[in-house]
Amino acid sequence: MPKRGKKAKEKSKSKKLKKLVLLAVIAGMAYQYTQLDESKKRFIVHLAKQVPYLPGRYYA
Amino acid sequence: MADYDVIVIGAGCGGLSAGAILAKQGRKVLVLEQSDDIGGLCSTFEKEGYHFDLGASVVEEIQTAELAFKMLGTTYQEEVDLIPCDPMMSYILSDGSRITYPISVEETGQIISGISPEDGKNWPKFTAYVKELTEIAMEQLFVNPANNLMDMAKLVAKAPGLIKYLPLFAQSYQDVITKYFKNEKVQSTMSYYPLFAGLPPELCAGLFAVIPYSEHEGIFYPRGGMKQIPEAFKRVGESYGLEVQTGKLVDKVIVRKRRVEGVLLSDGTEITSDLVVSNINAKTLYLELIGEEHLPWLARFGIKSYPYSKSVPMVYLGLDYKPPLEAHHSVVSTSLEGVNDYWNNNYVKGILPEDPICLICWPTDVDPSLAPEGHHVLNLIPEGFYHLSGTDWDSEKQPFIERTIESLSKYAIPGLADHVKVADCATPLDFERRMRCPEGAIYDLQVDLTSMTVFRPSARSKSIKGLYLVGNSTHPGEGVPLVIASGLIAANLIDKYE
Repeated sequence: MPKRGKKAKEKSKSKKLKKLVLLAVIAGMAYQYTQLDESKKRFIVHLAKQVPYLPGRYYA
Repeated sequence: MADYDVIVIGAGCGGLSAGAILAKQGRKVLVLEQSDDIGGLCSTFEKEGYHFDLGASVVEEIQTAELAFKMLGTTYQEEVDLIPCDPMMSYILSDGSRITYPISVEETGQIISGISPEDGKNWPKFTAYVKELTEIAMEQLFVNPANNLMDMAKLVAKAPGLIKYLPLFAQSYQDVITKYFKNEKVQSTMSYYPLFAGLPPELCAGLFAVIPYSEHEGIFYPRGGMKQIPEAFKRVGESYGLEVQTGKLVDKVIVRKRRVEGVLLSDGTEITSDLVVSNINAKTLYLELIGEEHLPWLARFGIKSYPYSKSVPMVYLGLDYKPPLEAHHSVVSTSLEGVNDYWNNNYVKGILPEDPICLICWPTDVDPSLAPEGHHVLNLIPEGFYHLSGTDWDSEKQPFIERTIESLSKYAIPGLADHVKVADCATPLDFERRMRCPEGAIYDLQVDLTSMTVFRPSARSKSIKGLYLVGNSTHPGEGVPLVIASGLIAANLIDKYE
């Protein structure tokens, strides 16, 4: 197999692995969230709603 | 050459402390106050012989004011006659029982042990944990700027102990309190405090769990009323050449090429200055006095995004009897879930509660001079809010006074209804109209993790050169001690950069 083709295949494998790990982390966090009591969920949602404003508030 | 080196908009504690310190630095400083009296929300008014505190009702965390007066070459105690208050707080529960905590941490622990031995064992662990955070806050966090990440890095470098409190950022106030205290009555003595941040226990940041401890470090009342504090800053500032003018409403901050050049008053007078210090709500400042056109789009987006803090109505009562209370401050309290329920069922829906959670301030407990002999004053903060469903505050004002008196007469203050000689009320609309508090938000902007330190409007404006902020809107946040701290932070920043 030409060297370039082998490297490209390994790179593609590594990308797929990273995507899988990221998906697993997100899935894990989502599962953890579903296990929280309603009060904790409201706390997280309250903060999460404000996260998009953080860059603007940093420059306020 | 400008008329003044510095113009300060607003003669509240933040504006006056900054103005006085800047005057001592040798700058020519003018403080402009829209109303006829100084003090803003830390002032006292008289009606038919009774003296009522308009907003702020007690002095705690005195270290920041001590530092400010030290910078002015004097001491807090020389300038203001502070009366120590003990007990710290009395909690009146819905079954009519009362739990009163003295100033002493140890004695409070004994009272808690009497209610719940398990919680009593955890009280020393809790106080030890938050005591260190309180000390770090007083010595470093509250008196240093937090404008950017570099400031935060410097803070952590000075106080590495802050790092162990990072978990508090990921927890709610309720999480922290319920971790240490399981008994509902004990929890009820700590349920009110998140409302100071404008949020219920389940949404308030865990950092605020310092409050149930911090007041044990001492609470005081200034003899003659809360107004004595801004009066002291004004008096000391004037000895250094500070100029204070009342009845002057600032309409615009003059900005050219993103730099302040002075202010324009409502009567058309233009006063020029090299620097402007603002002691008003940051959203009002940036969006109305300065104008969106002068702001970079990202800053404009951020400033518009801040929710206003909770607004409160205040009821002022002059009484011809001594109310059956046990402390300078009492709270008609409920459980943590009760406060959450109030938030979700009343606050969010705009429905005033029949029997509100209520903070009761009884200043004549320690300072009889505020009322005729044998008479007493109460400053009440019953829970309420700006947006009412199906009605408005102009219509609700008088019924609200009557309902508050009736509610408190039931078990919190027996006999109250038969002894009211003077009754008045400042609704959230009144605060908005008279005090320039949009939506009656006496703490300006909501305080949580997404709107504190580097995410709170910067003390040294990042958008407009020569503009500095003090007061509730900026770091370190709301309440008299922190507002005074903001004044000394601004003055230090100006000394460094201008």
